[in-house]
Amino acid sequence: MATQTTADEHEPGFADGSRSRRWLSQARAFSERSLREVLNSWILLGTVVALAPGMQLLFSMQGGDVPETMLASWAVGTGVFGAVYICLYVFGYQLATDLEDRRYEAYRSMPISPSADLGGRMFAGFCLAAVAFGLTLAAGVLTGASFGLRGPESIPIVLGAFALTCVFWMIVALPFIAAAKNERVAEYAVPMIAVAGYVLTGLNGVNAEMSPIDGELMNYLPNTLPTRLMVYHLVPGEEWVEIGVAPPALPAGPEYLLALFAYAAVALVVGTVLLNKVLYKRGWWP
Amino acid sequence: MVAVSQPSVLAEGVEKSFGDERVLEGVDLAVESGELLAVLGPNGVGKSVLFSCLAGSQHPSAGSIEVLGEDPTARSDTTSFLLQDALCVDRLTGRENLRFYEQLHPNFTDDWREYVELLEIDADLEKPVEDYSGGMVRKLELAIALSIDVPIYLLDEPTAALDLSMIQVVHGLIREKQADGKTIIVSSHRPMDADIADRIAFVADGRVVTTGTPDTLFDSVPQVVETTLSNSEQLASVVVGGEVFQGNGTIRGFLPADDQQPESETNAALESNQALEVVDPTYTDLFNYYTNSASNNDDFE
Repeated sequence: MATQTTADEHEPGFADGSRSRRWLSQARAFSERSLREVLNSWILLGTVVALAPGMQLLFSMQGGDVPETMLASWAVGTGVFGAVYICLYVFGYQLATDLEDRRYEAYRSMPISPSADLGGRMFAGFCLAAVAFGLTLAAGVLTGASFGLRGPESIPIVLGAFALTCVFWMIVALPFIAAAKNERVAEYAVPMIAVAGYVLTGLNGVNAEMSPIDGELMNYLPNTLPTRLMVYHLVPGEEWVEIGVAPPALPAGPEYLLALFAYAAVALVVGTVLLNKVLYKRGWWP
Repeated sequence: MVAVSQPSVLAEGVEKSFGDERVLEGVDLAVESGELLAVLGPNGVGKSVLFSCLAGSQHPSAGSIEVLGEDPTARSDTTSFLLQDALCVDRLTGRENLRFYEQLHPNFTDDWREYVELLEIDADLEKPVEDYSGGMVRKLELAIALSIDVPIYLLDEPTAALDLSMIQVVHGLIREKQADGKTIIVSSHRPMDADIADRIAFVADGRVVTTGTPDTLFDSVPQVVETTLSNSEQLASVVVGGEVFQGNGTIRGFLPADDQQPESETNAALESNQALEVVDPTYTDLFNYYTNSASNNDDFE
């Protein structure tokens, strides 16, 4: 921290602008760059954003008399899968290319704030994840799913839960990438975490009987907790057992949101330390 | 009281290892403010790692580095570091890459507009960098690195992959920066990059084997003798260590210094081999003498 302060005091560019303006500019640089990289490639964009909505459409083609609320809970589970996949893939892949191409050698020679780097990348990942999640819910509506807010408080709770989930899962990619420093690992292995989580927990916890995991644990895993919390707030009705979401009972209390907040906070601390120490080689904390 | 000028860049006993591999083995280097230093050496001798340490991108394993009197890893606003094939993001266009660094570095200037025109990539800025040739990528990286307004420029292989006419343009840009009072350190394995230098440092086997002005270095190089490829055996019999170097359709070598062999013996050897001709040394000869020869053969020292 002291080191950074010393540097900042000497940096001529800061005579004209505040540190916060510089931070925002750098965060924007990383956000814009991340989004442009994805938007410049239709194949990449299609792969990451259309994956989950496409899966939701495929579910509906299986036929049968599926209740509207079950389709809605599937859409939430698949939407969270899409968001987690994007967080792992986009954040991890771009970080890996920067490491493999030795771009961090250049970044370290520049007065870049590591937190602006992290914040910028995360904002881009969040935007893409939000689009994928929204499109998956829209695909759910198209296929007959029925959504409805449990109450006015559901809006901030769902938005908060979604944002915290994105924060957590983007940081999950970081230690793998920092250790492997390999594009291929980022492209193929890291996103598999999202796939494995989705399959092993029964579509992220919305089809509990499909999962080998039983009981309350389903309300605490970092992929099933936000999914089940959002199902509670976005899917109208109480017939949870009939549509396969329960048991266990859905996580409705504030303590579950706090647990999600704790996951994201721990992840953020770990991510900040890794970025500062391993990638920027500037000590443990900004 | 005598004023003592502090070098802009000072490296003392710098060592750098990656695991068991020692890349730098005690580098000493001082660069004065406003100076243009060419760091020359073959590929793989540690020039890029040295530049990375000077830029603050790598911590030396041992020794010390000061840039404008401070540890470069603690202060990152004093240098602009051109790395080989590392700055540009392939999936972005040239213009998007420029915008990225414009937002990223507080000292990024509008000078890139002039540089992309001079380097003749202005018409290609809307293309993705993944469609660029190696030379075009190098030009874009140069435009980025030179557009950052800092006191010191560390340019690692700025002319790699460029054609001869473009090398002249790059030399012109570097000279322009120097005229603006900037300190410039250029690394290269091309002897022609020595043309623009105030001083040259030759690197071999992870250490600086010699530094000096071009005139001083030329003065200390032994006489150079040249012949055609078909006379390599005759040449090898008279030059130091029997070591010959490829020239432009010819082969060359260094005659022994007077203290190694009497002048009369050298003259006799030359007279008996009419195909051998004593010629003026070039930068390529300097390069061969101080890097290949000096690191391989004690006879040259």
